[in-house]
Amino acid sequence: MAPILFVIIPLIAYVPMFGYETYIAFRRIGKPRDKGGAYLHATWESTHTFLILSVNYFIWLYSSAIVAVGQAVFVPMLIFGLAFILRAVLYIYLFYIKSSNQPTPGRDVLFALLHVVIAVCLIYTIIQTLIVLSSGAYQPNNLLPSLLWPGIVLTVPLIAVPLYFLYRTKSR
Amino acid sequence: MADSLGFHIIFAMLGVGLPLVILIIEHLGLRRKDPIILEHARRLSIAAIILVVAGVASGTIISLQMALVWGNLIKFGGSIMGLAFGWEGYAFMIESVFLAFYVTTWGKIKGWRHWLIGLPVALGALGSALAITLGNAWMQNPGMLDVVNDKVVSTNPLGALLTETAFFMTSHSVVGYYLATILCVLGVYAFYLWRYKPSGKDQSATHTIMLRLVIASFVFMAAEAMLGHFQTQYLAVSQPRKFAALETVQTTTRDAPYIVGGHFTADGQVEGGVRIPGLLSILTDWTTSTKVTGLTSFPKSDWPMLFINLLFEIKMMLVSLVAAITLVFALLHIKKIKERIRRWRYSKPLLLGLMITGPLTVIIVELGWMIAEFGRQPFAVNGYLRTSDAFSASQAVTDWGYLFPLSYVVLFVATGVALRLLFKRQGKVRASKDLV
Repeated sequence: MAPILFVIIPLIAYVPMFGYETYIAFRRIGKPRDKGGAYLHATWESTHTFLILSVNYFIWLYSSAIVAVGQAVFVPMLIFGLAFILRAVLYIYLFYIKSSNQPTPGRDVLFALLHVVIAVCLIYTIIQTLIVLSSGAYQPNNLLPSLLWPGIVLTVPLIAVPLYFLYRTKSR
Repeated sequence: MADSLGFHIIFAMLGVGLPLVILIIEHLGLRRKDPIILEHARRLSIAAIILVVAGVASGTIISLQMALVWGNLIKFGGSIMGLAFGWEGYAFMIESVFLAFYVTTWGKIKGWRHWLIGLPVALGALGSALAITLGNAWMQNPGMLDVVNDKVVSTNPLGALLTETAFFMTSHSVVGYYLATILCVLGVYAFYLWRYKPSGKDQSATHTIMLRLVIASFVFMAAEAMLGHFQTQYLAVSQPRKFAALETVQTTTRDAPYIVGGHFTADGQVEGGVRIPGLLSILTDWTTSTKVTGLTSFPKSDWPMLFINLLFEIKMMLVSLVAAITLVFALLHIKKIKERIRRWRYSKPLLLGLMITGPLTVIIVELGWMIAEFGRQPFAVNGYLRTSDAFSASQAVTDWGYLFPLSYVVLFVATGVALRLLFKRQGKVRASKDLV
């Protein structure tokens, strides 16, 4: 399996899941929690492990390119990191701390907008990374894929059923 | 990076240990068909979700920091460390998906089937911790290394990772996380007793859970003590430079004394402390004739941070304190002891003592990792890549890097507040019939 596929496949899985979360984040603005203001229950960390997997694969399979990529994307990745943490904090607040079902417009809008910030930063990073890689100067670590793909074969079927169940269940 | 790891280790540690603790409590509840004990397990699993959310956020940031700030380390060791981090990704994915599934199915899937859903959570958490620690163990004592053009070239990354150092580090770390989590949860229950004064079946359930946890803690304490000792013995052979700094050994010698309370000066002289003749040689390899390598055998430019001995002594003092408090709590359950003395087991002073064991064990885990990391300096990959060369500095890192630790503080505070409010809102535990 080509190293680049290890990076692309989890990202392809992540995009629709994150897209759905973004849609729900905007859809719930201004609505009480029990009347359309809910969010997906407990999927947040499952969704983002796909992104972490993709980033992880890239870092280690294309380690020769990492210094160049890091310099190209430091600022957008810093913004992404801050937005990611702020989103996590708001997620904890909105769905685990806030006792009222009533909407909190400011925080709900901020929560939704952070999805957009994250998406923009990720898209910019992917484009810059492709530009760096397209120079052809960086070779992947070809020894690792043969040791990594058995994990995919084990993990994907194992998580498929619970993941399907999570996205089908009633929202928080 | 130390700031990020310092915060992340707390989330990661609890993320590793909580699934096991929850399974122990749910197992107890199912065996006794006790809905109150099951409700305790359910509440802890919601706390676990909050911690995993924080752990995912902090872990993502660490991955970014590694790429942005430590690019040269990744470039150097990617072909070996990448395997460990790849496995960690799989294990964490299994853990997080099944944790979400486990929490969502309380009351919907009942009995032992629900408990079985928790097993992949605990196994995934264990796998994640083992994999990540393998990567660090390679940095501490790299093996099977050919370096070509400043890059590690290895035809056997698996063999390079699975070393004796890896065995000791992974086992000592993981057992430590389980122990720390058990004691943290014990402290939470001590707070629950003190603050909410549960009565009747809830009080009985709480006492039962606390006793099970303290028994489990002794099993892990015994294992941890043994592993810690054998790991330190192995350190004398595998990383003598770190061992010399850890045990304040100035010059290579046989019949080496164990020095309690001594410290290194900047030029490598040992000052102060109480010397116990021959004890360090005995501890290292069971005989006073064991030769122990001293710090002065290494060039000064390769000396690690010499205060790790102080960190180690503080760690051992805290370990003794924690062990003493939990031992007293456990002994007061012995039925042969007079009731007027046994009654003290749920007294305010002892509950307060149990409450502080949790934070103390977190500090112990942090100190352990500080010793490991500071003791490896000035190397990022021991003996091969210096930390100063592993760092891929840029103006942007210098100008904006402080935002990472700042965001961690925010995340840490938010998580703490969330857990506190969750606990407060739930109040006293009530039986939930849909769990049985």
